[in-house]
Amino acid sequence: MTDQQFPVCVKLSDETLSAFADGDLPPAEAAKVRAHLAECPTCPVVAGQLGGLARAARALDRPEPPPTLWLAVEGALQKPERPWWLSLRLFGVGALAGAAAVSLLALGLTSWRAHRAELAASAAVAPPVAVATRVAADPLLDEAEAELARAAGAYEKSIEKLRALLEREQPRWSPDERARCADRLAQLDEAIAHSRELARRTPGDTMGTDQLFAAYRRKIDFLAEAVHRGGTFQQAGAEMRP
Amino acid sequence: MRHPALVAVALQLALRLSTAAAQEAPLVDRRELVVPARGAELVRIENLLGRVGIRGTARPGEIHIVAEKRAANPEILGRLRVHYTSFESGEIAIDTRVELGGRERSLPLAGSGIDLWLEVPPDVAVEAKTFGGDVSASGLRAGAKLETTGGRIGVSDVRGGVVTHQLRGGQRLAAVDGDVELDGVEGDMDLKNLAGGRVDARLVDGNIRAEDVRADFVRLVTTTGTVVLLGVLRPAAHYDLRSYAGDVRVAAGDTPFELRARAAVPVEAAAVALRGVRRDGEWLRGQYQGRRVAARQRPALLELSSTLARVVIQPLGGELQ
Repeated sequence: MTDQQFPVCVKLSDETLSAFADGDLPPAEAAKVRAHLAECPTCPVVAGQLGGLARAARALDRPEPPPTLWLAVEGALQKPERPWWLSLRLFGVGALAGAAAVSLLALGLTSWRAHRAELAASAAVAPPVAVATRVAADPLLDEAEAELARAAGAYEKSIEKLRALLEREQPRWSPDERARCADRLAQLDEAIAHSRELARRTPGDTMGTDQLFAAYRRKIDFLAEAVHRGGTFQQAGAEMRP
Repeated sequence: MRHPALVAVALQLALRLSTAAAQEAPLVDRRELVVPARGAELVRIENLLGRVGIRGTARPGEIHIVAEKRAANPEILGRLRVHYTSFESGEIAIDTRVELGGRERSLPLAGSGIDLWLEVPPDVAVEAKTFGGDVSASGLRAGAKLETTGGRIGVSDVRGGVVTHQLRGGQRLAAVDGDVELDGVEGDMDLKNLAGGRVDARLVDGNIRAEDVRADFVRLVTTTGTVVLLGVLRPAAHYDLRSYAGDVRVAAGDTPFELRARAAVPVEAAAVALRGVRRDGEWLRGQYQGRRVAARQRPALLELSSTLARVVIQPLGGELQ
């Protein structure tokens, strides 16, 4: 992957975005990145590409740990001196899974980094359909997608309601005010379309839908403000939503 | 046995019904955990798989978690996970995930899921996020930030700032002492007994009802619903109540206030002795000086606006709904 393929943003490094796409950032930092992605015009593109790379890397054959690894880790955890609460399977298994995932990820990343250049070309051309198809067959993914679609529908319903109110208001505005409003709505629609495409390409990944919902939310905020404020929405914007 | 065939059919039917019920009843796995939280300043919870309830009742240095996993079968139950991570910064992160395609993901589920019930030390700040599940917080002394897409939000007995974000579901806040910033798209907001510097509630499609709000700045804005404010106004406070398509109604006590109001129809304020009433463009202006001259205080500023419906002002104790 050459530098020219990534648009430049001075606020986030490729490394941070890469860690975000891999799910490696701590929650607080991930939240900051998510907030930035909702506003930045370039970083979502980079994040989408990196996410594609990460998924392609996960599709590679990964070296298996020796069969004795689980037993050794489990045996160590079950020593009597460990705190009682670690014996709870709910969290113990989570820790085990986390440890194994980190091991596998480290092993996988080594080979991934080595083959990143070759992968980039193929990932840029076609998304990792095999991964998406395999995961899509899971009924839990269908359930999650249905939940996300329901929420998207609720956002769109609210947008429709507000648009109807806006159409009632707009005849009172000047042509200039109407034109400014149309421009802003076009920008917001473009952001929604971009986010929707990202969400469509990454089934089972909430990063895309988070961005889509943030884009819906910005449009709802703008429409509500325009309805309340009339043609003065741009000047009033800072006061309504700091 | 007079009707053996009938009894056999009934037995078969009962057996089938009980089998069907057994198949549909979700499996529940309930776990309890005590997390050491010495020095914790922030607890951040992300549970897209179900509900979150937080109470500020734990002893200092401990967080009690009850996790209830539910699923239709053991295989799915085994794929639902809860994680917690302690950071040196004083943050404790608790999140839920589902194993999918060999990877753990934070995804919203409706049929299966995990509910989290937490007891935290009252003096830690709390941030919680759900997708379709309700989220509630009570007994906290360092504020709360709550976010949900489709769950209800409930807050009571909280000191410190409260911030909410919601797509739909409705919000209820009671007994909050701190700045309040509420944001919702769809669903009603019910606010009671709030005190602090600022109460700012914005809603697109729903009603806002606020009772006994004692803040210096109160802004209640909805696009399509009704705004209702009940209670004694705070002297010198600024109340900004707006609806585009719904009524704005105020039943205020005896505190003097300056009024700025506009509506689609004449402002209804006959039950309140307004003085100096005049028009200023589309706005009606006037003053209410209170019934007890000796108790005069600095007037509050009451700004009321309804673009397509009514503005109604009346004394406290009326029939305002």
